[in-house]
Amino acid sequence: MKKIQIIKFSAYILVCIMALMSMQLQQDLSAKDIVKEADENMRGKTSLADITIIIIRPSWSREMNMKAWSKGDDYSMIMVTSPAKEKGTVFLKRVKEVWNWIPSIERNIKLPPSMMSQSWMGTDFTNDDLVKEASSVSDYDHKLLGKETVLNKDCYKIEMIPKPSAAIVWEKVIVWIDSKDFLQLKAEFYDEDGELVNIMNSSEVKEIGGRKITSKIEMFPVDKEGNSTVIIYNDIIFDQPINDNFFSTRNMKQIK
Amino acid sequence: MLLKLAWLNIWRNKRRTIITATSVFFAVLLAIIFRSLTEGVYDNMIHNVVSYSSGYLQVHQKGYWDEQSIDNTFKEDEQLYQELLKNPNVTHIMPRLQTFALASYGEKTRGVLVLGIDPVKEKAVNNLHEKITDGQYIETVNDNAVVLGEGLASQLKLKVNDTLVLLGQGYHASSAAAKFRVKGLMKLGAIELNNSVVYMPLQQSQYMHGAEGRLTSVSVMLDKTTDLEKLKQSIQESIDPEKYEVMTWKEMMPEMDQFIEADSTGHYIIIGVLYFVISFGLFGTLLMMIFERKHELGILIAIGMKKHLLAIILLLESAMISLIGCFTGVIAGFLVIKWFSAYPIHFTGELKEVYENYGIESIIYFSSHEKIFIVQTLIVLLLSILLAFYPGYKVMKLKPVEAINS
Repeated sequence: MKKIQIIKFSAYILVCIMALMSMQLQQDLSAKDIVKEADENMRGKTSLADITIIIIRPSWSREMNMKAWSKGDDYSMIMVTSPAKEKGTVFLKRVKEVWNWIPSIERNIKLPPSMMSQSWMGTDFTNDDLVKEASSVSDYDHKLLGKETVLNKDCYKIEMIPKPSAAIVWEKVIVWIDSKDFLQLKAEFYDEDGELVNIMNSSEVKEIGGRKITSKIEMFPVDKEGNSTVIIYNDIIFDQPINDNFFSTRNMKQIK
Repeated sequence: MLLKLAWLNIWRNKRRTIITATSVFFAVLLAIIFRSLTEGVYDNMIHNVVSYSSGYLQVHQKGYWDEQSIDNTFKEDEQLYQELLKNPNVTHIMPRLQTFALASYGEKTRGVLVLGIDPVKEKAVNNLHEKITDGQYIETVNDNAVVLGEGLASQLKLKVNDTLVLLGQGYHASSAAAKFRVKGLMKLGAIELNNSVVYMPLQQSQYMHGAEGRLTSVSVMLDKTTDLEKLKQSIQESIDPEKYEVMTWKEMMPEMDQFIEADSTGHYIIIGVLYFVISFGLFGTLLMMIFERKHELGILIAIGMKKHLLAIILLLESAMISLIGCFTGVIAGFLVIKWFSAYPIHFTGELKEVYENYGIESIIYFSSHEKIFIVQTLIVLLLSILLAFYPGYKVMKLKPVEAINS
């Protein structure tokens, strides 16, 4: 009888401790969860997107159309469909490798890590932004800074600091994530001196391919006035199964 | 009267006059040849370097020089060509599209300078076709082939008729990637160019960069003797200053200008020593003359000749001798330079190789700039007249009695 009481008591204490611990854990995870949720909202298990990229410069602008496939964190592929001169150019990300197929010279170039922070096809995005080699979930430590309103929407303001082991050029990234739809609406990128370098705005929330996503993403480099790059999602198909083999250097040369 | 007296006086002792005049003659001749030689070497060096690189003057889109990107190109403009060629000092114009790219063959990749050129116009200026060591030169603007420096070819381990892959940044953020057949290899003097240059017909280059009908610059070649700054002014005025910018090679390659300036300083010191030697020679003959004629001068003063008139006669005498020397010196210098301009000295052997390694023709040119003749002659003339004051001074101090008795 006494024994049972002791067991009961200790079980009770255990439950209490576990409850406390899980509460503690939840507090810690929440910022990370928000980022993860937002990331998954935009990505899905797989996606096939039709996008338009517009490069805006003070004296000119240029429009490109592309098709993009992605599967989880590890695989993505982008093919240029217009302008005609660059049609068929393909970028492939496979786990940690990035390849670039250029049909006019019949060369498949593996981008070295040193090129990851360089401009991608003349846009204000870097090669790294494009292939998302760094994961916004696992390569950063997240901290919830509070709530702010962006575009009339309540947002979580989250500070993301890269883990020392991650190959990320930013000192920190601050993101604003809509607290209702869990969509990232704004991000600020700071360099190692703590200077604001880029601002990324996402807007025009639309339901495409059965999901609510931000269909327009704009990148503004802070030090270059009048420069920006706009990505518009014209169409996305989510969660259509794609074989891993699709994301191969051989397939890059064949896809249409 | 005085002039006539002086004239007769100098021919009284023909030998002395001829010796003095000869020393002036050689002074003038040497100074002229020396200056002409150094100026000629510089002119030739500049001509050689600029004909491959920037041209004497370059017209480009305003702002290009500060940010040499393909986005700062301008549209080919026939009117601009006409305007430039209207100037009589302009001998050639070379439209170019100059970019940087990665060149790859097999496993090797190098950063290269891609020069889109008009092969015909370029050939006329710097004889590019003569530099070909293997294969052939590109003949027309739309020939689909490239010619590259020997050094670059050996780095890429590539031969004539291989396919070179070029990858670079195109106009307005487009990508520039293309394959070309290597039509020829050339040996260029400047090592840097030899190791990094790819010449391509202009239209091919424009197509590859998605910059149809656009140029980074128009290089302007001039007569060697043209006044650069003045011409720059006049060209600048004749074209749209809001759109175009004109730069001289001195602005584009300040290091070469500074090198020449530093090198010239050495030459100025040498020529200074030359003047020094010349004036002492002259002074010597004048001293001899006054010594020889002391007796005669003493008598002239004794019978009532005014001292200052006598001094003026002596001054006139030496001025006349100097003038004769200068005049003949200029004529001789002119002939010598004419001869060497027509038949320049070609180096041979080791010296030739040294020059060619620097990308400079192994030829000594003489500059026949009229400035040299005038300046050098004036300097020698001035020196001899300054020296002629000494006999005059001597005469003023002459004591007739002592002079007669000496």
